[in-house]
Amino acid sequence: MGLGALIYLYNRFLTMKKVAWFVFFLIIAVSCLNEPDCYQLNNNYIILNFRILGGGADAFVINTVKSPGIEQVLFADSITGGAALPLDPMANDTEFVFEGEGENKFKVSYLKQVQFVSSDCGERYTFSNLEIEDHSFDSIRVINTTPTRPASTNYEVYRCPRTEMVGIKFSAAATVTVKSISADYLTETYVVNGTIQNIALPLNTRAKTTAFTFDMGDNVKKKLTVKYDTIPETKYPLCGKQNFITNLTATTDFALAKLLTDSIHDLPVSNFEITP
Amino acid sequence: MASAQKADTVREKHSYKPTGIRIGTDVLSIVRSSTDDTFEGWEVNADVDFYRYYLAMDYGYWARDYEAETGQYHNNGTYWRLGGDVNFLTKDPDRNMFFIGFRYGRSQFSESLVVERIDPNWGSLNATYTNSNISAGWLELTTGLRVKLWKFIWMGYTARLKFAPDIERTPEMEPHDVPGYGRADKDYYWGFNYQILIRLPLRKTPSVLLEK
Repeated sequence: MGLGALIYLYNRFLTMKKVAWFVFFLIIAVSCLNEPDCYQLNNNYIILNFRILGGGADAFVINTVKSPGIEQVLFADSITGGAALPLDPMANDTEFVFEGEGENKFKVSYLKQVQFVSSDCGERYTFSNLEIEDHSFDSIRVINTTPTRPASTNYEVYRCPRTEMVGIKFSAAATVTVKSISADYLTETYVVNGTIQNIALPLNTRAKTTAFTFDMGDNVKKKLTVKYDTIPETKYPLCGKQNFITNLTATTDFALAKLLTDSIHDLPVSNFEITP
Repeated sequence: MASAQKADTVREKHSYKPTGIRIGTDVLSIVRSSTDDTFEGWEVNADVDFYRYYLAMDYGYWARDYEAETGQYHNNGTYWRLGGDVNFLTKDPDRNMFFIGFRYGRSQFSESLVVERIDPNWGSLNATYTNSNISAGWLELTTGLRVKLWKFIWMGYTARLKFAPDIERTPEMEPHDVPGYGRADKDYYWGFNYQILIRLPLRKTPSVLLEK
């Protein structure tokens, strides 16, 4: 190639220099947008929110959540309004067993896809098309059949409202030590062995009165007798006919039992304030 | 007056007959194949002129191997692109080019992923996933230069903005990397080729493409 040709080529490049630089910087800018991101790769958690039919959020007691066949505890030790549960990426369904106040089962199937992300991030699993295969809860409402990142509610788990729990609050100034509490219609005794401020106790929905005996220790026993009306009603078909309790009143050999709310709520509210 | 105006607007009649075919290869693919352990590939390029318009064709192969802490990924496949370029340096006597164009690209490829890891909830996870002979298509906007170096030898580069990927979906494994396109999870992607080409003349080249 002659010197003249080289000079010519140099001149040609000069005329195209602006365009070349523009294209170069465009490439650099766009390339910066393509770095892989390692955070929030998987959407393998489903969210269950616990609620009460006709009410608000529940306070669901969970000791453990496990899946059959594995020892790992997936969720534990909580009184919670919701739970985030991991899906099994090797299976097309996952069963959860809730141990708490009772035992509940929940089985969900799904579509899963794997995708390699990068050498730094490894692979990710994406889940979709959640379907409930089986459950032992009272009712479940499907909110979103695809787990999201970050996780959001997929299911609302409903239970029938409890109509019998009366709330008792000891006055703020009092520190009350109670050994146990018994009810006149139950054989078992609630063992407390400690100080209490608030407690919810079950009324007998088949009667008009329930008498509670508080064993305060040192052979001191106090009685609280709660009177009420019951209204049988089918508010929620899946719960059947329930006795709803109203017009609460009380007599007691505590110093005072002050009525705060004369009907039963779920979650329980303080119906009586006791002054020891 | 009218005849003077008519004389000013006379244009040279352009010939749309091709004057030559350029065939070349992407040097960057060859360099990357020998320097980047995760990549192996090659690409051949060709174009033919119709005055200032060029029909462009590419054909290539690429394979990728990635090692991660939790497994290995491998893919390989071929791809082609077909499209056109418009040359904006019409007055250049050597037919050097600054061009803008478009392409339609299509790829046929297979990929596999081996997963070996311990999950904090589910314990040991071992699985092999494959996608066999799946296809993808996409569009590209291109720009670049072609410069005559010496006699039949040309060089150039092509920058390409790839977009609108249409990738075949499979139930078990989402594609990660599409030969010719790039990462499958990106709605647009960029590409860059540095090419060495040989021009095979088909007929005598007009000395200057004048446009008055």
